[in-house]
Amino acid sequence: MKPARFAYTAPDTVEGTLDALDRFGDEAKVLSGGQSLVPMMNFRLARPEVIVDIGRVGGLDGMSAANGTLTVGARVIHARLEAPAVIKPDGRSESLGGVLGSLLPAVARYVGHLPIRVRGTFGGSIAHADPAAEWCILARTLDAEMVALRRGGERAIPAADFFETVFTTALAPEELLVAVRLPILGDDWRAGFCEFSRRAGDFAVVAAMTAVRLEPATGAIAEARVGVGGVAGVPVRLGGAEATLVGETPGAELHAAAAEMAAGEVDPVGDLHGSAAYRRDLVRAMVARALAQGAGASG
Amino acid sequence: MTEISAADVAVPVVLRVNGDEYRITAEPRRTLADALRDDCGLTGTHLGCEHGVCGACTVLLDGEPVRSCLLFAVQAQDAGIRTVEGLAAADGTLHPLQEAFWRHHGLQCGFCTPGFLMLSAGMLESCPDIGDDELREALSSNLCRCTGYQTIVEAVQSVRDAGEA
Amino acid sequence: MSWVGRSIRRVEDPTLLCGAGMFVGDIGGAAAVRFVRSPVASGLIRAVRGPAYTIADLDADGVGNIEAVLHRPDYVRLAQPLLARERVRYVGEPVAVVVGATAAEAEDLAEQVELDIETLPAAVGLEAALAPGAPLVHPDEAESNVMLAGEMATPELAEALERAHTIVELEITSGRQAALPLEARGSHAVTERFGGRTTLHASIQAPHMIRTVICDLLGMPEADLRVVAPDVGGAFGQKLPLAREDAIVVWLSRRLGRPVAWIEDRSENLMASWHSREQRYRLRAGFNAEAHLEALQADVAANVGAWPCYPITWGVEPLMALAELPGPYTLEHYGVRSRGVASHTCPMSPYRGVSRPVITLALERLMDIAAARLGVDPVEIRRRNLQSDFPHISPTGLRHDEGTYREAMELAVSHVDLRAFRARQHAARAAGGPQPGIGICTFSERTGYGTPAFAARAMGVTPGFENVELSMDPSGYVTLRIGASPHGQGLETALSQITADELGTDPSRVRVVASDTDRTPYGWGSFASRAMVLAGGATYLAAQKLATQLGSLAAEVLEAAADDIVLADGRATVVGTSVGIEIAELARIAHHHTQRLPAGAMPGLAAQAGYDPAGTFSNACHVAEVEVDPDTGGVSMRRFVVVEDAGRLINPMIADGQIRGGVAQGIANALLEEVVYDDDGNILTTSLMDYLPPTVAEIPDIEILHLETASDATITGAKGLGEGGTIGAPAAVLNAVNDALAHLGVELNEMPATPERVRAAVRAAAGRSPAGENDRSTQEAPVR
Repeated sequence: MKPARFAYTAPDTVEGTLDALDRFGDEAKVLSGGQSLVPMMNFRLARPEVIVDIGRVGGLDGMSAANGTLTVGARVIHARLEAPAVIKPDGRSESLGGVLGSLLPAVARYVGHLPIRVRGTFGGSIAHADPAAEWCILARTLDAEMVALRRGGERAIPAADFFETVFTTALAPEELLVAVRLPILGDDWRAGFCEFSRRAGDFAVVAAMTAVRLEPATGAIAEARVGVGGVAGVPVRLGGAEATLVGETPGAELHAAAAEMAAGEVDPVGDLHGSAAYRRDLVRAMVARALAQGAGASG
Repeated sequence: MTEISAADVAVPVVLRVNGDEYRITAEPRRTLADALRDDCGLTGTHLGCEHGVCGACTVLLDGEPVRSCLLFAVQAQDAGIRTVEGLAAADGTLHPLQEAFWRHHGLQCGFCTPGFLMLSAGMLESCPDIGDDELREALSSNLCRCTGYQTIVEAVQSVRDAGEA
Repeated sequence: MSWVGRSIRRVEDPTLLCGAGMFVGDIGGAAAVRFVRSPVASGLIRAVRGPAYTIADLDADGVGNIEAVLHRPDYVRLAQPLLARERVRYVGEPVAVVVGATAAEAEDLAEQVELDIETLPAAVGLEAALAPGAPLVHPDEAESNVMLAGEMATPELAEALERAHTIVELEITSGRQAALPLEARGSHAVTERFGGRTTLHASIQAPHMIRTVICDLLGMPEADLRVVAPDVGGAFGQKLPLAREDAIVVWLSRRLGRPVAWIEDRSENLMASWHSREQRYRLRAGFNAEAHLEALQADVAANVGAWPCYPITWGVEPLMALAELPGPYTLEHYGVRSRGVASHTCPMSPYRGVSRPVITLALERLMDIAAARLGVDPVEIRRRNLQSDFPHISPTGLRHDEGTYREAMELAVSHVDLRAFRARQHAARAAGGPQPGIGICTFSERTGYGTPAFAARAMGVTPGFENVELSMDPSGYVTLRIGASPHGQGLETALSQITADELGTDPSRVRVVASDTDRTPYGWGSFASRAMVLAGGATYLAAQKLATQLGSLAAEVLEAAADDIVLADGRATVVGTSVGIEIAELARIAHHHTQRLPAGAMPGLAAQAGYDPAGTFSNACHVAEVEVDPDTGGVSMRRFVVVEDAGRLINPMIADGQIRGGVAQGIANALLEEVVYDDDGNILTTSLMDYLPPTVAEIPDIEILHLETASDATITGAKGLGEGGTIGAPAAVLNAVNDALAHLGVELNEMPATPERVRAAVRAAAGRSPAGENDRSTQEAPVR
């Protein structure tokens, strides 16, 4: 279990990184925290010709909030999202508040273990695109935008387009993911996250995230997002469950109905960790609990 | 253009481990764990799975517990590394965590022990007042096949409670 | 003051705590050996191309085949080559071997080796291997895949079943599991340039036995091979049998004349070391109206994989099941058929508990199911069936020495406060959501296996005795050389306590030498919970002999009668007086002033002893408390109580460590761990993300209470306990899971009880019952 040979470069600027990616194209693989890539290399399941290590690149580990959007630098480690803080324009650091401010730590504690969380990065997880990864589910559920740079260009890729299939994204070989933009979610949002895994810190068998926006006047759901991981090659949004929720008032019966809808509309593929039928059962349970958690958090 | 190290050429790497400097040469693919064990002769860092699950290879990198099987030696250039060999004092006095593991029977075969010691050291140094739940959660990072964990938890709790780490 | 019975700190620990242990992978200075393994479960080898050694090279050197033998008419005897010859029989079977400068380069080389194999159909699971027309694993040697079929029945079994008040039928299955020592296997061999003697360091449990078999295979005198087990990072049975790889490492070092090492990686360890536990039990049990188990008929089958293991053979699981299934109960009529079934899967070796975790699961599920059927409480049915007159002779002729089967259970039940639990459970059932459950397991643990126990199996090689050599040097320090081979159990510490008591010295003055064929007497090693009993007994006997020598010498020097000499606190004293002499001074005299020795006494201070008992039974009661989430099938452990009676405890701290570690493995066996193959024989669990040993989050604190019944079956009064934790926990946990879901009509008799299986059982029960679970599937409960 030793990796196959690879050439190695560790640029210290974004420009240098983009040059390397441009030069080596699909022979190259970006190494960020390495907590997913290196195990695959040790198994020789991943055999990049060239490793472009972005560990020395400055400027990719910032978090900032503006205009209702949180921008998370690609090299922000998971541990920092356990207590997310943003740098204000005046240079001071401030805890991220609001619904996203409490959702991120709730999700972060499911990501791997302490030694993984201090090395592994948010952007690395997104770019690795494991369909059961917590951050990928969050990105898909909240319609995040992935900011990709290439030599001479930048584009923002919506989550719906970003995740293509297992371990595969819309990033071109010469592109570098530099940041992810997340909606901060106003006080009228309620969000929840629930995950079922076999052991502490394992990847989810199934995980669900829900976020609903309530009409302040009526308390009815104006907008709903239900995302699940572990049921397809990418994290998926469940339109049927979302439609079930919209226009209704949160409550156990509604949550059960939405969860039932969710279980019906997924089309999981069974594997070692769970058959299709079992994953459907887990979708039902996780969606119901995420919704309940969100409703509970509202007080 | 940034320098590229060829795949099959060992490059010079300087590792700073337990305050000592090791000038080694390593292919880019050489993991930090292998470099510590084979190039620095520090075999207290063990390999139990080589895919980041068991934690036997945990070392401190700039104070943080990390899996040394998931890092390449070239990445650790310039970092401060601590391994189990650096825990006891120069005169042989055991570190409080080593004492506690001994007193509480927190080891049997001893293979996972260096990893648990370094994990615990990193955890307690950054969070000396860590609560019981968080402590257990952090210790769930590593695997032990012999003890059933209880005595490891008790050992680490005792060091936390004494404020010794 | 006695050292025995005290929880002194372990002498083994300081080295290990400082990272200064020497495991086989730490030796270094050797070329790296890598095995090229079969990618298919069954096939014919057409060609091997590339820079590798194959069976042809071994044959050319006259290397022999492994023959693991049972002298039984129903046993299929095979000659197993060290590398696959003509045919591959499981994914991971070693076909070729390469040597590289580093492990990475050896892996590069192995990738260049091309295996041209014609794939054949494979028989993978137990039922598939037993099916008519199944592909045969050894078509030239056997007409079916049944490699061993033991049968026995007591005379009146049929009549007893006929007249039973209630018949309970039950099928129990256990998934395949791996012992998973945290250090995988490995070996390192160096052959001296002059003289040609080879030293093998290997991560093994029985160095003397491994030396014998490797020398047999390579046709070399045992004197020319030194085998050392350095620090061993856990073993649990997996490192007891001969690893083909270790023999090849010795061969390579002699052939190449350079140091070579094979350090198994985790993926190889999961795929190709040894597996265990894949068994199925069909029970038909007759109870009388008072809920007493009168008669038991069992059909047992174990999937033993593609090859037997040396020297235990593929009788290891089936024959233990045959002999020990009646367990701790006073059952009179018993009949069994127990088969070892070969398949195109990794071979089986002993793993902590061997068959007993599954035997116990079968019996303890039987007791709970019968209790429910007969309207008796689970505690009461056991009370009526457990042994209480000793010695008890089982239907298979096993002699159970004095034990506390009932007492242990009563103590456990009162400790957990069953009544309070039932009140909590009642409330939880009304509230919905996660459901608490409690499970009891009572069992016996046969330990201290000596020659008589192994001889009953008619093995080609009969393990048994342990020998020790004890000497005191002129400084008064004691060296104890043992044939056993501890690897983390703390045996050195415990033996130093026994020695110190007999010699009136301090354990810190005792050095234990083990695991090196050059420095220790022949012995069988550490396995089967036997080292404390056997090596402990031999140590006790040798220490008594040495104490007699010291006593005689002291009597001579002090001019007293030998019977009046007391050895204590480092001094030999005339009883009732202050007249005495330091033991260290006696040691000087015994070596340096031998003119002062009693007439006829040998110079020096040395004694040897062997011990070889028939065996003994420890007993225990486990109680598990769980919480089951019916929606996800997730089971979390809430509490675990052990009442253990392992006789006299030499070092209670070490004993508790063995129990806790064993229980943790048992819980993992019950809930998490399973080796999975697909139908073609591809193994799906070759990482620790797929094969799931538990973390601290899955294992509760384990409360331990002790009973210490004096036994006449062992000389120290100590019984073994290394496996009991693993034997009892699966049944306790599965009984608890069933108890938690009993109100839903769930019955689950398969381990591991994975969340998916639990959830499927909930669904199945709901399907049977109109008041199913669909109306209560959406509690708003936290996941954890």
